[in-house]
Amino acid sequence: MALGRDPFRNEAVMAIHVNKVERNGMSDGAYAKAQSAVIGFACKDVKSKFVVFKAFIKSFDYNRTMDVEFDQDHNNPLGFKPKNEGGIKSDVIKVEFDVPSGDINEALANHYKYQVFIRMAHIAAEPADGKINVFLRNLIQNSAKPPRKGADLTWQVITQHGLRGSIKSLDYVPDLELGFYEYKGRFFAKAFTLSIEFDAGVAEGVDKKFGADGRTHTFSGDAAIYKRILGTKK
Amino acid sequence: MSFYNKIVNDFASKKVSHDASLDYAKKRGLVLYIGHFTNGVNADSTNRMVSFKGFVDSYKLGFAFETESQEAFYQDGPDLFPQSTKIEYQLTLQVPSSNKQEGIINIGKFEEFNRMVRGNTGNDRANYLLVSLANLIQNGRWTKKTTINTFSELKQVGALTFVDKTNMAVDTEMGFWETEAGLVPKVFSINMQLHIIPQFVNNASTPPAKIKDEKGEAKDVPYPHIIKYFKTNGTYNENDVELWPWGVTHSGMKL
Repeated sequence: MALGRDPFRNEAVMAIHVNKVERNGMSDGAYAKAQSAVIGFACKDVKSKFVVFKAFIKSFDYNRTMDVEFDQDHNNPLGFKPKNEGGIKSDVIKVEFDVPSGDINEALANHYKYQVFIRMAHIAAEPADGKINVFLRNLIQNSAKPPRKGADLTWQVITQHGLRGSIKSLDYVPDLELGFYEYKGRFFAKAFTLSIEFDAGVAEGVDKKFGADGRTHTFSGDAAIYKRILGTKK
Repeated sequence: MSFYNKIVNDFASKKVSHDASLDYAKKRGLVLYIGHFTNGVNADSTNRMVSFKGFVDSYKLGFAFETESQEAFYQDGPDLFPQSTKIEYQLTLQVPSSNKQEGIINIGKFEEFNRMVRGNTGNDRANYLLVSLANLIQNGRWTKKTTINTFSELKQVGALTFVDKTNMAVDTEMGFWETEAGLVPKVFSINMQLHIIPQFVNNASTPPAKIKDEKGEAKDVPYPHIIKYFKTNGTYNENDVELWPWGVTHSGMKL
């Protein structure tokens, strides 16, 4: 495709270029792409905008709190019995990943993606509901059939297969020991850490109850893995 | 009243000679400027300003999203919907001094900053501050190196904030300068939590009639904000200055 004098005046072209983590020829980007070790963010309610970072995961944890209340029970020697069994109070994924850059161009791209990302995560105006889709291969997804390993992440892929929910907090912390690139009077961190707390809620949570629909896909992008472990999908 | 604003090593009548760190900070544009708005966002400021060399010890830009829970009778738990966003800078700055005079000036500037944080003595106790630290703390209009010598220049690029917490810690291992007036720390650090006010408010910060958008093209912004949610067609909101927080434009990117 002929891109013309300034290809980045076309937002669609820009979105594709800036999100190709393997584009600068460095081995880490190519490796991340090949392993699908990339994390993508997109909004179903915001056409075409998406961002993809290499997933240098620093920490990942998944906290599920059940909505259980206790009643005093004189017949129970422990004095309590659960009053409200089951139901989810919160279902939170916390992921922290590093965003390093090999040169100033990659640092600019990373910071540009952050500028776009925070606008997707910022409170939504009607008719959007403020939710965002997050996709990290089998770790954060909504589908038993995610795209093949090494596939390009696009707006369509992320909105179709990403887990939809609300970001509760989002922190940007630069690595001050590595320092900054200075570029035309501005400073861009050579590496920074993004920490995200993400709650998918119940309607579109990481799994479904055992039962009629039987759709169970917590972290197991490939349904066959679940089958191998438990012998059945349900 | 803006007599604290010329160079970083001045404070009132006291002045120390330039040192290499000051020259470096000014050359790079890495100077923290803090301007005062005790009377609130709709009144004139006092035009008081302090500045520190940008010895950044820690930096964080955080978003916290208030969510509303909604639970239908058939669900076994709530769904969350974002309602509002709190944006906060957390910054720790080292304030070293290479001689006694600079130590005194640093303490004086800290006291000035402390009064700014205190707010007004009247009914309106708001403690709004305009803060600028190159493109790291700004209002989305820092797209190139900018020199700040006056309060009106700070209003062009400074982020409008209010202070949640501050903390000052003396580096006791480095010790103190002994002066007639008392002990002056050789090095101390200031930690501050700054909440962002996204709107460009009259008198508090200079609202841009036109901005350069992320493609470098001129754009009208009727009610400018440093950040707004994307429109559903994927374009920027007409009131978004687009380039906050880093000032990255398409122009010049080689990807």
